[in-house]
Amino acid sequence: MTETAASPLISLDGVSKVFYTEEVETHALNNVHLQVMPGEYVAIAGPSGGGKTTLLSILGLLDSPTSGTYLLDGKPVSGLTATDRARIRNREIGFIFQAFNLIGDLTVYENVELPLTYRGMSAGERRTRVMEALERVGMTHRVNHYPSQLSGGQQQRVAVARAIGGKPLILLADEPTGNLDSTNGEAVMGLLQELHRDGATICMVTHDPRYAEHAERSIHLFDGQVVRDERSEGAAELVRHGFEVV
Amino acid sequence: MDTLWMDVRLTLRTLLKSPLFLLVTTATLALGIGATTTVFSVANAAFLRPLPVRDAGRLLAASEVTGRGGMASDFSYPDYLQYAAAAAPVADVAVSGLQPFGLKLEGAPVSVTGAFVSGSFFPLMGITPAAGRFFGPAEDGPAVAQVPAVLSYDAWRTRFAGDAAVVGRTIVVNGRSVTVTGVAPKGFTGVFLGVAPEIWVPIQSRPTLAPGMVDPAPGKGRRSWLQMLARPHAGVDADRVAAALSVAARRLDRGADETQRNGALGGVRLDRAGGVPAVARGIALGVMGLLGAAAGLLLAIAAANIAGMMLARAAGRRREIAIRLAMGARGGRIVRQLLTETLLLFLVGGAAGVALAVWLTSLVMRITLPGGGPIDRVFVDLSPDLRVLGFALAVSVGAGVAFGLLPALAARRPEVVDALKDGGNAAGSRRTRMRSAFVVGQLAVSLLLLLSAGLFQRALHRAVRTDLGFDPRGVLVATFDLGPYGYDGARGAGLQRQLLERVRGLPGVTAAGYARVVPLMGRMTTDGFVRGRSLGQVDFNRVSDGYFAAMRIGLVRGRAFDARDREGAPRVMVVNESAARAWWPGEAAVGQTFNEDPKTGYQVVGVVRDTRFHELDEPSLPQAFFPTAQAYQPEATLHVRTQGDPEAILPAVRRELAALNPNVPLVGVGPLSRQVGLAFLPQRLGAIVAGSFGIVGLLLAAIGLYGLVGYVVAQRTREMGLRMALGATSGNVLRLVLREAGVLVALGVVLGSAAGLGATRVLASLLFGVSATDAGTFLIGPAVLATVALLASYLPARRATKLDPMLVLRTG
Repeated sequence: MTETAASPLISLDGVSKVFYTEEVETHALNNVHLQVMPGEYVAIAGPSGGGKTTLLSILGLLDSPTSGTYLLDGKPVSGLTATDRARIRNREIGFIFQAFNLIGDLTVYENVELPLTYRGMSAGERRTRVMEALERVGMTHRVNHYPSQLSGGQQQRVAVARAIGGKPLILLADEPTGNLDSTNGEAVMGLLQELHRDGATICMVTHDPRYAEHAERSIHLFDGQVVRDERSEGAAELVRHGFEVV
Repeated sequence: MDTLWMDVRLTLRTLLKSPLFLLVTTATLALGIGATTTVFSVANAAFLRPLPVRDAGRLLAASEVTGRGGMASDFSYPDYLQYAAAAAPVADVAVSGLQPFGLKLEGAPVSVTGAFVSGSFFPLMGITPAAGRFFGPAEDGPAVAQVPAVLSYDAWRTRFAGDAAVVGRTIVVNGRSVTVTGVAPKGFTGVFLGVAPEIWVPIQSRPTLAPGMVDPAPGKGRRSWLQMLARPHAGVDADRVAAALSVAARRLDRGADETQRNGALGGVRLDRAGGVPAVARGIALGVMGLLGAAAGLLLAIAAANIAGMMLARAAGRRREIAIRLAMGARGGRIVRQLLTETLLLFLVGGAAGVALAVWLTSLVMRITLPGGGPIDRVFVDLSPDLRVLGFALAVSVGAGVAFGLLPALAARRPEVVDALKDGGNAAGSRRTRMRSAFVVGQLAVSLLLLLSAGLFQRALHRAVRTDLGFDPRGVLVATFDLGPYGYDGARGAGLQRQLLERVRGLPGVTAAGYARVVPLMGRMTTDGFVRGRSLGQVDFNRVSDGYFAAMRIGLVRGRAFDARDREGAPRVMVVNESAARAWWPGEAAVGQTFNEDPKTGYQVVGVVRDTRFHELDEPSLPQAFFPTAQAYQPEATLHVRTQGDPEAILPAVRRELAALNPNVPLVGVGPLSRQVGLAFLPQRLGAIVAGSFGIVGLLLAAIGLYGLVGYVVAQRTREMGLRMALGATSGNVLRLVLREAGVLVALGVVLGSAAGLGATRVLASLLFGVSATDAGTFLIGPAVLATVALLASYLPARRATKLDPMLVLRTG
């Protein structure tokens, strides 16, 4: 099987990341090559310290590679200014964190609205988007609640709503079930699955094999290198996501 | 705009959730902004606030430019008439001069401050009376049968209960009937800063109301006491008016009579009327500059505290900021949000500061300084106006931006990934360093204020212990002027003599006498000659028998004045020791002759100790005393020594004067020690202002250090726990924390002392015999600062020693 794909959404070519602390060099990523196609659901798995979070940070433009090339939607990101990177994070990337990372002083509504305010969107349009996103995750009945008044599962659903409210190109999820019990974890995974079915591109870091199985593709990182790249779905599914099977 | 409102709403929500933080920051800023706003309120009243008159910007105050660039703002009435004639084509002019009046209310005379004004005065002001009408030029003439008078609004309200029927009523001023024609509008207090006349009368009524104020006959000298005001005609600028007046000045300068100044009069300059007169503006600006600098330093300490708190707060919000950045917020947007928070704090603090300033200025306005000369009491309206509010707003925003920007910039780029993962508990060493720098700055500035306070305190200590040569304790002074009441020399001297005898007979009075001038409250000079040799201008006072005893001025040789020294007897005088040494070196002064001019001779009958009579820090100067009994003066000041509280004798003194003439009021009444205390005013004010600022600054700096050490201890809880688990004792941990705080304190002391060595030099002229680098102050100040600062560090450091190592290590 060969594939002539439409342009990849994410393309990493020889990406490395080295952290320098005093006189110690830590190679968090080492010559990583990776392409993610639009609509793909990729699980990034591996043991602690394998480079999963570093990879996700680079994908989310929260960090920069030490070497290598990163093309997002076909455009290199290395020369972007901090302002451009912020704009891309705001418009094209949605984050879901393990610790939810909702702002405690903001209500559910305001938390979901937050990224939209950075776009200069009108209040009316923001309202429409926020309510749509909250409806999607089933949290419209909690709009005026503060995060501390919600359960962990509810908080993560709000975080998902915040991530999808801006209709990003890609969702980056860092251990989205890590702070949840199994019931809530499954619910969140179901939500991601649903988003994926509707066409969302998702990259999810997890070290739990049960949750990695939800993705159609698993990338295993060990010592900063991609040691395994597996697909769990058939060609028809790939085609649906823009791959051409030859 | 809509996102800015979101920032404001969020800030208000978070602040209201931390009431203690809000309270501490508001109180801290209120102190800093309140102090600067109070100082600005004074500056506003002194320099900026326009008079409440029509087109205040075009009302000008005139000053004569004298030789070598000097200025004089007092004009004589004859000179004014010549200036008015010269200016007539281009401007309207008027004069106003202060005068104490005895206003008879319900049978008893009350001393009030009034003003003689030219008939052109009220038309020149362009104001509308609150009741009745003003008098004009037609009623300012010698032939006016009934003297018109205008009451101030306050006098109308307080002395006549706001009775509208007072207009047209006859009242008694200085024993003469005058008719109230109108009431000045509310807020109009004349044109003299610090003085609010209660009554205005035409200047040509002087022969009736104050014969003593009548101008000397031509060729017999000049009485300069009037402020001259001008308003250019429409289309005429101030320069043209000044030029016209200067032409008149040069004519006066060349005048053939006594008014001629022999080339000393260069012209006339015009400045906006109101506030500090141009002649005193330089000194006033200097004083205000010092006050402003002290208040600014206090504000800097307060604002640095807030900056430190904001840094600590930002450290606790690393995760929130990281989330915002991850959501696509730009750095500038984060800075804007954090600045909005700081600015809101400063605005709330600013509002509290304005409230504090209003309270402080109301306290200042309640302080009654004993007036000198015609001034009954000093009054400056310091109530806040739009300019003061604008200043407070500008200071709040300016300081908020200046001190909020660095913490905001430091917080805008946290280690996003770490912050999102660990929740942002890691201590940012950059932030801690910045906060430490703020604390060092606070300590240094606080020390600078403490040093200034210490220097002023020592100066005051030295000033009040100065040997004045007389003993002001237990002495009551009270002035009365018989001039307006029609006394000739014989009758006036008779009343004065009778009053003195009556006062001496009062229980508790041990001695009493008269003097023309109260020491340190004025100065009189005359030409002096000894054996045909001119001594130049010689300081003198006219005193009665009993004066030296009442003042406890020691007699060194000869005798004091007594009953022998009456009108018609040989003219005698007493000199002080400096005069005896300077005028008759190597000879006995008693028995020598002194001439006031080549014709009049006085025989020296006694020598008394030197006294400080002009300036507190002057060297001993020669001074002469002439007996009042040999040259009647209608104005005299009683000096009454009592065994107890000198003010307790005042009612009895009033009764004795009323028994002799019920119309004559006493003015300038009070203990001599209070009046003499005015001479210490610069040192006292300096000690109070710098002391208050120093103490508040020290307190704020201590709070800043306390907060920093507490923050560092909290951030290093795990490390401390680990050290203790590894065997460190409480003492080890305490020393560790205190050593780090000690470094900051030491840096603050070094910087503050260095700044003090440079900055306190500008105070040198106010320090009265204390060096600006006084070693004692430069030892004690840092010691006080270090003690307080280390105590402030000790409290949170002690918390570190109470940690349970296992609990800390388990919970992380």
